[in-house]
Amino acid sequence: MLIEWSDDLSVGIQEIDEQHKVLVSLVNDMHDAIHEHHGSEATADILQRLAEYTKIHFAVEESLFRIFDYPGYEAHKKQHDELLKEVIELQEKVSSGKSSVSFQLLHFLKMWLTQHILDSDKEYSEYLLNSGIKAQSAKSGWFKKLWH
Amino acid sequence: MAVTEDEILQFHASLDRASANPVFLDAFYDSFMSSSKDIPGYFEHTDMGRLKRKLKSSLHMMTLLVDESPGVDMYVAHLSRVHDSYRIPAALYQVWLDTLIEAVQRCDPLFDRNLESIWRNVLSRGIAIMAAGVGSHASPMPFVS
Ligand code: HEM
Repeated sequence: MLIEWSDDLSVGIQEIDEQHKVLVSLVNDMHDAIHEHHGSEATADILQRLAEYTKIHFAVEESLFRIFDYPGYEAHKKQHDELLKEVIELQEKVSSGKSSVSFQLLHFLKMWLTQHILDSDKEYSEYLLNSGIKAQSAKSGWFKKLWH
Repeated sequence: MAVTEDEILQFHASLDRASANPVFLDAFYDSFMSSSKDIPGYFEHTDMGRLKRKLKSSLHMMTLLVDESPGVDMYVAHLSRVHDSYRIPAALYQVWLDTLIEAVQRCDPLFDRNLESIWRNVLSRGIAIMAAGVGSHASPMPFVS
């Protein structure tokens, strides 16, 4: 396992934590697929799922920023846009066979994800919780159910 | 020049002493802002509190470059592409480094010439990757095979 989920990574909002756990598990799946030599098709497939899920997750966060008028919206969205641009670019290269998923890339994703959650997401979650967002979803994990 | 493990420890100890001084972050950003008339414009829309909080983790990231932890090159290259989207010229990375070292000198009571060369040595690779990223925003991601 490349990234172990721990309470340190929790932003205190259940639904967002659930989405982050999906991202973490996709990165871990990709790590396992490389380690266990599942082949480039399997890793390309996981990378595609990661790119798709990342896009959805960012859209959810950004809509919360708009609803709650988060002052750090622009800076946070820029971080999303930059990563998404790179992930989509990589995913296209990998699925066309021009590139392969490497340990470098996996560790980059691990660092980006953990750094982003610890630095930037915790900042917005504090703001959203202070603005009245509920820490627990009424229906647990609705988004995860929708995705799977 | 190769950086030893002991130098990394000395770097962190110096960073901890400097950060223990409450004026460290303000000292760095205030003098960085006033070091060139062009600089404040880049931060016009920036939440400086947030950026100051991030400085320590970005410095830590730069130290990881030294022992070639996987993915760190790519992470710093990503950071440099983000910076390139603000059209930051390469020369400002040297200004950034010099101003940071001045702030450490003010805030770390044990700072001396030897520590200065350790700081420069530890950060040189990161600065080189950041400066090399000028013009990279629109080009493909480096370090991808
Ligand atoms: C090696 C040197 C540098 C490092 C390690 C560094 C690190 C960082 C980091 C970690 C961020 C936050 C990125 C994010 O999460 O969105 C950032 C943002 C930024 N940096 Fe740097 N930086 C460096 C040099 C510079 C220089 C020379 C400038 C020149 C003006 C600069 C201008 C900016 C600007 C404008 C932002 C965007 C802030 C915002 O509005 O969100 N940086 N930097």
